[in-house]
Amino acid sequence: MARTRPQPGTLVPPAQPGAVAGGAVPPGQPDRPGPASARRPRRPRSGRPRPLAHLGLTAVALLMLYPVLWLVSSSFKPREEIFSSASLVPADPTLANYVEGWTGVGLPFTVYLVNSLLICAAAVVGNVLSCSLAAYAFARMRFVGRRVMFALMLATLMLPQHVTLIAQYAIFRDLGWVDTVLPLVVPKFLATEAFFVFLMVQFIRGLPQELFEAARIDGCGSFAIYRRIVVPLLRPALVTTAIFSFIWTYNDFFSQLIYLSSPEKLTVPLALRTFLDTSGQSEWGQMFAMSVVTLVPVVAVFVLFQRKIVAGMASSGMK
Amino acid sequence: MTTAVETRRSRGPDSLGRRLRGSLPAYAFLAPWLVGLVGLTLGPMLLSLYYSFSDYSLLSPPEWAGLANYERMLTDPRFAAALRVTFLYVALSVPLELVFALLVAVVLNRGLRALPLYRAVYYLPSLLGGSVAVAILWRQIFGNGGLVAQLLSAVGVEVPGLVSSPDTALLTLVVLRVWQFGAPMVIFLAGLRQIPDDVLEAAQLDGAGVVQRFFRVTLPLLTPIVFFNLVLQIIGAFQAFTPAFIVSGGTGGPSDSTLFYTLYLYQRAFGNFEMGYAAAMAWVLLLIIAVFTALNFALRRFWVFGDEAPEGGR
Amino acid sequence: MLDLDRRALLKMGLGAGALAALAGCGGGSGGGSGGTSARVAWYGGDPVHTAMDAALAAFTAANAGVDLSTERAPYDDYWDKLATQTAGGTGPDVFRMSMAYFTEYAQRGALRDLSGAAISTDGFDEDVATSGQLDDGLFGIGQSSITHAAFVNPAPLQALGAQAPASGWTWDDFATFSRDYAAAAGSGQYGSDDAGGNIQIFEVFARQHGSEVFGPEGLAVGQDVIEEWFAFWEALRRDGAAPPPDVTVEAAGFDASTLATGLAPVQFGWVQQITFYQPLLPDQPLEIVAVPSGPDGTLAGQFVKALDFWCVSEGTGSPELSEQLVDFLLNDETAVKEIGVTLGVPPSSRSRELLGADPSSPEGKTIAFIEEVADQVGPSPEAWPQGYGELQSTFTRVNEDIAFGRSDPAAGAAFMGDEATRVLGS
Repeated sequence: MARTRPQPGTLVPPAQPGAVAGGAVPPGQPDRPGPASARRPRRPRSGRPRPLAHLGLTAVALLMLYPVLWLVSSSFKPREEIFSSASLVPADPTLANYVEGWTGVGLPFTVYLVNSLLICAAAVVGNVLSCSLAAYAFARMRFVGRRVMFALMLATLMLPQHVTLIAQYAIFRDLGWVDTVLPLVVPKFLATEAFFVFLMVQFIRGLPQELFEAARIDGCGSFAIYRRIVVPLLRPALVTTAIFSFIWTYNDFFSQLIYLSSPEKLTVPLALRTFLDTSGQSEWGQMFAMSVVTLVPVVAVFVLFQRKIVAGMASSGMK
Repeated sequence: MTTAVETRRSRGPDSLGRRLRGSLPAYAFLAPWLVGLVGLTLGPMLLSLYYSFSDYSLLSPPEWAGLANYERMLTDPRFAAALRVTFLYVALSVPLELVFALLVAVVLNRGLRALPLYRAVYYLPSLLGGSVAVAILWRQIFGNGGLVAQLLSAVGVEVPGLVSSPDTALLTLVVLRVWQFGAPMVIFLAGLRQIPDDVLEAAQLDGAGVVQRFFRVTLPLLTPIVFFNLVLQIIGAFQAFTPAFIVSGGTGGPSDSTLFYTLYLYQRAFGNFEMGYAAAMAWVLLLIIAVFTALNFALRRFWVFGDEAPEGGR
Repeated sequence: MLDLDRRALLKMGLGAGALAALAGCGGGSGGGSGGTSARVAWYGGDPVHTAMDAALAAFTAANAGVDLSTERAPYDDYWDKLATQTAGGTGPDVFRMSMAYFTEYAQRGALRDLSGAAISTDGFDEDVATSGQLDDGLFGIGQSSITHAAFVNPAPLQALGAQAPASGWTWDDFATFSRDYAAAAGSGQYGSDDAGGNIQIFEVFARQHGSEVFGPEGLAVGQDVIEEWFAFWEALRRDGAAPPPDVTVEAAGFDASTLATGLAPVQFGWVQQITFYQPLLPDQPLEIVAVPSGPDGTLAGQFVKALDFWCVSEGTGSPELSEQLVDFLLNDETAVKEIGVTLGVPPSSRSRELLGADPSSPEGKTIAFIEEVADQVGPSPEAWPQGYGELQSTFTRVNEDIAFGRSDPAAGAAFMGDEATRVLGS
């Protein structure tokens, strides 16, 4: 009998086509994890140090990070120095760009940060709740129309968001929701991100059947099973969902662009773009400083949850 | 693989009514999703379809226009430009990104102690790349006298502003996408780890060299993952918006050389009050993506390993 | 395992709480609530932003309990945002409108009819007071008079011993000047900015050739005139007298313009923009001259008109406040002084006197120039038609295509003709 406590990801042989995530990737999200699947703990062959490989990899790594490092270092440079030296170390470091840029768009940047973070938090909660509910139904329950609905859900993975965009906009406009956060948040509570549903479905399917049978025999109803068994065991998938929900919502420039306009409601990407429009040509230092500020939450999430992120990504793609 | 499903107790005739009643708990769980499906997906899709056949400015009610929007697409030079630019972008960036990702994954997989560090460093750009901040950075470093121009002239290569010339502006966006190879790379890495040691060892014993082992053993076993990444990246690349918007200042310039399809759609919808035309463009985009995905699936059997396995139970 | 109930409950609670909080922030938006708050939006350079902030500060100081929030953007970026907001029904209450888009917004019903509003236009120059009239309604109040201009920076010219241009110069004079200057000043220097894509300066050229740009049937100017214009500028670029396209692409906005970055001594624009350029060149006083004339040497190609308006959104939630604000911006002494000529020459002689501008200051030069050319310019054209804004962008793009070698003047002119038919015909 298998272990009673599933590892992150379930065992799925690689050759199984199954429901391949033909994933629709909304703009700005080129990196979605796929279905949870096998990760046989196979140790990488560590052994003789490979200097050449390290050299090459380090060179590539530096090259990749260089733009971001330059951004950070330029944010501490006074304006003249930014364009005269390509070095990563400011000769004359200053915090002026941050101080002045903070209010460079009118309102202090904290307002925008709070706006963004609130929306992201709501998105995380919404996705975790609604997607897990739907996933449980798809994975464990029998009902009329299950096949059709599951196929429909998969099909929406492939749907470009623009095909519903205009009509959604018209609907939200008629509801009076334009220029509020509702169009950005409410869909998350309606399990519209099929990707997470799919991720969780695969995960739940890997849970041992005996657990459910035992619970049934004990007289647990569906919701009790969901609450007591599935949700806790689903935790790795929930964490992955939460993390990617946060990052993708944070970076979802397009939706924020069309739905938010009042200055006090702007999110961080919108504020940054306004900054670019109004002072972009002249105040590069401040522009860079604020750019760094907008990147901090994502980087922070990454640093904190790096292992889980990569594990979530890694346990995917195997159908 | 067994999918355990909740068994029902009743053994009576499996009437629809009984099954429907038995489905109620499931529907309760699915309620949010169903509301979303109808209200935010299917409904708007049909509504969009209707708008695509009408003249709609959002400030006044839609007026039926038949096929006018679609006809206009055929002769709209900017629409042609948008298609051209987007196809070019997909054709250049997706293969480059995947090849790079695969290469790096293979190198990383040879067993290095600092693997988690490298993996993290390579993955970070994927999280940052879609952001406004990075697009702004890109616009600056590839601009006239920007970082890239400075570095190149330090080695003696003089270039004009790369984002202000129509021949190179799109390339800067391709570079931006390739920069984000970390995401498919991580997936490739995981796939590589799945490859059983014994197969590779057997090949080695048979006298296969490194390159041969890669092309004859590793790569074929990886093809399902390549497929997965390919489909995902193509779909994503067709929908790219933020980099083009920020780098070109919303214009798609210079000279429409960065006019991504979604950017043109946005210009029509939210710049010119032409929601009907934009809706038509959206449906065409859906068709394009559907065709590409269908093509990918249809061609699967020719190059993806293990595809002959029958579909496991759902 | 951890306590499942608590966690599940916590999640639900968080969700509900967040939703409630967000719904709280969500409602009561768009157009100001209850008439004590308003959103104001405008386009322009930095001096406009400073001026408007000061003027609005005076308004809120004089009207306690009023809450104003502002949005500002450069001209090019303003229209996307405004269109998006207007389409969503959440446009600003009071906003600056350009003649380029005025007809479109008015005909789409996005502008409030101000015919009966309590906005005083007494003493306004006649053209300004009526310029916002369209189809029996008054959908915007002109806020200034402006005319075309070319700004000259004499300093680099003196350094080369070159003669500065003066009003009354012809296009041939301009071409010679540009070529001579570029040759003398060396590579990387140009005679002027590339105005080939500027449909508004082209309008002067077209009128010099006997026709308005737009007529009742759409495009009224001949394609040959358009072709001649594009060819003229292409020749200048080829000879290095006008900047190449990649320089022009990066020279958007006032700060990065070729004038401000010292790449060219001449810049085309609207007369009040001297107040935007001068602060960027603090030690080099700029002069205003007229746009080059046609062969007859007169300034009849130019015109003086109110091309910018204050408009109120049709769906505003604070109509009285909005109208009051517009009246304040146009007539209040403090507002007039703060705004100065950043929006253009003030619309009434009373306002102009109020400014009491020093003739050697940019403001003084602006007013002096308008007064100087007022009786030499031609009659004002009709209001620009719906679709002008899009054609303005198309014109710039066509010039860019020609400059990059992807098109030529003849094809560009033909394309403009086709586009005009499509856009204006609807």
